[in-house]
Amino acid sequence: MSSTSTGVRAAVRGRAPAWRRRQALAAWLFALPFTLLFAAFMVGPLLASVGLSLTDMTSRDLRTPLAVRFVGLGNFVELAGDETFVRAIGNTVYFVGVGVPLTVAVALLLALALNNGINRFRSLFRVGFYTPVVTSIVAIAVVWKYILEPDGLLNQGLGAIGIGGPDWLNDTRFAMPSLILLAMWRNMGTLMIIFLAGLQGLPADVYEAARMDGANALQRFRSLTLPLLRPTLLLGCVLISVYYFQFFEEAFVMTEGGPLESTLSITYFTYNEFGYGNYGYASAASYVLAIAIGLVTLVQFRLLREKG
Amino acid sequence: MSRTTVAPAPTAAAPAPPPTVQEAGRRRRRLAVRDRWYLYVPLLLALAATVLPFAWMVSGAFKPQSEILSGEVRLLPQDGTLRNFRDLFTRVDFGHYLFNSAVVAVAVVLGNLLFCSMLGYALSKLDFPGRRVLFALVMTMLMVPTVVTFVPLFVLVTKMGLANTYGALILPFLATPLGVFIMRQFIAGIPDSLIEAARLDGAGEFRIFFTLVLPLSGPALATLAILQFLSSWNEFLWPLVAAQTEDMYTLPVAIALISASANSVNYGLLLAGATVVVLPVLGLFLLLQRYFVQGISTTGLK
Amino acid sequence: MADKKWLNGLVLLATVTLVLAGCGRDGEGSTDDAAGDVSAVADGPATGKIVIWAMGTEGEVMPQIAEAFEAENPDAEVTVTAVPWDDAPTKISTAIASGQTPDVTLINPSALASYVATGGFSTVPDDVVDKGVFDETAVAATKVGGKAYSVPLYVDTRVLFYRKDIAQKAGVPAPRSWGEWAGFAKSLQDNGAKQGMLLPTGELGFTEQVLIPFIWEAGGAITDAGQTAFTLDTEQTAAGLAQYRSFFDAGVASKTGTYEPWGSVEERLASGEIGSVIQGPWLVPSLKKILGAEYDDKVGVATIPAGPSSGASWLDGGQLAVFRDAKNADGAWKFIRFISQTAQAARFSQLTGDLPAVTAAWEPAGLTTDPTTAVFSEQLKTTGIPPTIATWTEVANVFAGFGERLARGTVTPQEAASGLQKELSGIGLR
Repeated sequence: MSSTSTGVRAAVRGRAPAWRRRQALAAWLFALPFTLLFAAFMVGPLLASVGLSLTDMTSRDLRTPLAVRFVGLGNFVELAGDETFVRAIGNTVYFVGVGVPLTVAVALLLALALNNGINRFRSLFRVGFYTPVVTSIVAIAVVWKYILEPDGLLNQGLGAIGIGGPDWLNDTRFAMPSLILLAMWRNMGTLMIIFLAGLQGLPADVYEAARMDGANALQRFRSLTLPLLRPTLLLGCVLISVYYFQFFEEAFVMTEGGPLESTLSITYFTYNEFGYGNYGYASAASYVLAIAIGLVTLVQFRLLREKG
Repeated sequence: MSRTTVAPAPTAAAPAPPPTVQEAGRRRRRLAVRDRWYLYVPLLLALAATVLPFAWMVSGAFKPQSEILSGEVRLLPQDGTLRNFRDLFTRVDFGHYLFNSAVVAVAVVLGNLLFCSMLGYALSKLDFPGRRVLFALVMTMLMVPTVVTFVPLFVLVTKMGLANTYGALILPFLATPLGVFIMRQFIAGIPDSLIEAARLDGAGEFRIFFTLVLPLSGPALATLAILQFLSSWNEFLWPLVAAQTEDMYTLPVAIALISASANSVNYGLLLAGATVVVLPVLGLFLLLQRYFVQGISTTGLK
Repeated sequence: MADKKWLNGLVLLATVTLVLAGCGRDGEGSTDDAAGDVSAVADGPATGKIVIWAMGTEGEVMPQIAEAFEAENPDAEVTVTAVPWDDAPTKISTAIASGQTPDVTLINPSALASYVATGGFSTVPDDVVDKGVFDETAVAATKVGGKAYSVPLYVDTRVLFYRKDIAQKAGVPAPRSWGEWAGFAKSLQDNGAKQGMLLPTGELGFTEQVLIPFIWEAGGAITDAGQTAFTLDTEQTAAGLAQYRSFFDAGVASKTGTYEPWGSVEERLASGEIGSVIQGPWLVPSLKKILGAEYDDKVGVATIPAGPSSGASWLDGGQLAVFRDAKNADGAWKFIRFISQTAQAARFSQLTGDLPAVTAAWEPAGLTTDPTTAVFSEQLKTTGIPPTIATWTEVANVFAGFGERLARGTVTPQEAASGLQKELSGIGLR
């Protein structure tokens, strides 16, 4: 993971220990402000919540937090037998499994199109595709409900070409796809910019050579762009996966986890349990999520790194 | 904003990059839109579909409630009104909430720019005991869902006597793992030779950082600024809880409050509020978007 | 992630700390200790800063009552913070958790018990108010385990709103019993309403308030009298749920009906999209605003049609509670005493449109002459009080879930009755 430039190391090694101590001191001074804030406001609360997940703390213990019972892994055992939680895992996997590839693919397509020969209205396109990212979720909720209503914008559009659209948000089969569509709309702008940046850094001479050899556009994409873009794709996939695993806002404002719990995610489950005051149980559920995110990130690193 | 015709001014700092696809493309650029219709037409359609919800939000801000609820599809308001905006500023002290949001967002952005880049520099260019552990710890926190730490964090902030202060709204967001990741990756790309040369000239680490590293990190700083501003500006749950009196509310909280104050939602007011809220972010993005792309470009390739 | 050891170390450390801290509660229900409660309010005017949280319309107009209070108590300074209803639970429970609370907050009766269980609220000192001036059921809803933890501010209950003009066209009177109800809704639907009635399905905050009264009307009960166990696996529960489901099966109510998301209930009733709906008193001013002079011709209000046992409706309202960590409990109780005076209660009612919990305030507020209010007044005589239990939100969510399944026809009423009993027993009452 860490890759200090070997140059610095070599230089440091050659110097007197006093110099080295001075650099270490300077480094810690640089690190200090962040580390203090980080320890106080992130690591501290995190440890507290780890502790929480091993107890049966509820809102009834708020004023006497040390009087809770230690239950070890009891919460995790209970989670495994909780039908709603198991359903939430399934829903989250569905959302990530479909949403991540779809969003990555669409963003990559947009970036490729913008990078290959679009020289007019570049800023317009960039800003346009980025508007969903900056729009606040409350406004998104209002607008998208209007679009997805049974007689809303989308179904009126479909009706114009002779398709009768479903009641998107109230149908257990279509609620999740609707939210995936919404999430894609919200996040493709960020990914597009990341990919665009990656594409712009690719070496031109290699492409020229490939063109000379008579490789067509598709061949160039498969044998040049994809492998060269692998680090950028990795970054994009990891960022979007971490975010999609925490799938919550879209369901919160659009479906409240329904219909019939078909859009209830792990984060939503955690949120509900916090709301019910079951703090220990909720913390345990959130750690299941954190572990899942960690594992998937590792796998992505393996898959996309090795071949590169 | 794009620099297709103006030759980029060579910045002394930037290491000379190999010719890129983009530059090669420039030579063949003068293509008219007409020749590339097969790219422009689908892209414009996709753009229209993407911007439509946004456009509807802006248009809804100018519609009276009855027109929004009528269910008719009309992009331009039939009965345009500025009432929603007027209500926004007269019914509540909207200017004050705007000020609160601005104070918090600016402090969060500046704090992150400084602290994340300082740590990023230490992690990528300096050797010190605990470096690997610290970096691993920070990266792990990148993956922890925010709900996990919510309640303990609140207890902490109140025990520190910070409840209902700007400190409560700002401090927990000053040290973000993503910021460290971006800054570390970017600074690692700055050639060691530059830093070594400065050291040989007798410059201390702090001088190197402030006069050499920071000025070279423009794109990464711009990226971080946009991301942090965006998340601070739109943060809802934390300010709702941490601000205990109305005079400490930020914009998103205030909008939730006024748009749903009665027993039904005032959609026009809500959309007007959302429109006002989105403008500064959009402006910032417009201003910094070129650096934004550059910043990610350099970071993502590491 | 090269270094994993540190993480293991930290987890171990945290665990050890917790164990050493001596876990384990000293007996269940340690919340009824009287520490921090005041038994009497001091004489003389209130002094110092008093911070009040209030939601919705009440939050908007509360400052006007506060001004009057400050005029009488010149050394007191009242700060009212408006809080969105939806987010109030988060705000209140985090405040209690940290001990950093305001002095007073407005809450719903159904939420009271869960906060009382945290030990966050003080009991009401005996001499704050004379309980006799309040509506009886409203007072009953302030008690948890026999002790009063709040003072009622306003009451509301749900009645049947319907389109009077459509009903007249169809020639049907407002239904008095379950037997007439479905036919009534069908007539509305046949004579111009798109849906005969609107029932909430699965929407938390509404579904349980409409669904549970059906159980009461059939003679069922949510819990036993002492609120020690759920009593839902009964024939009466099944009968109530069957009545709720019958409207969907008959096609007079939408299987995906919701009150809130898009287009408000009042807009839909006014436009004829729905013919009838069960709602509270706040619908009246909004309907009058939309319909203007047409209101009297178009809107009818009736008490809930009676089932085999009764025509019980949901009792709700607002109460004021004082936090145990309040910095100015004395001032807080004095403010509550002030707003419970007949004149102030009447004024507050005029400002909000609420029905005051102080019964004597109805006349000065001009409520006794209004025919719509008369219906609410009548309905208030037949209401059920939601159980005051600590796990209420979780319980309500289970009801909402079964409401959704009943509406979509994926469970039978019998299955729902035993399912409710099983799931709720797993959650418990405290």
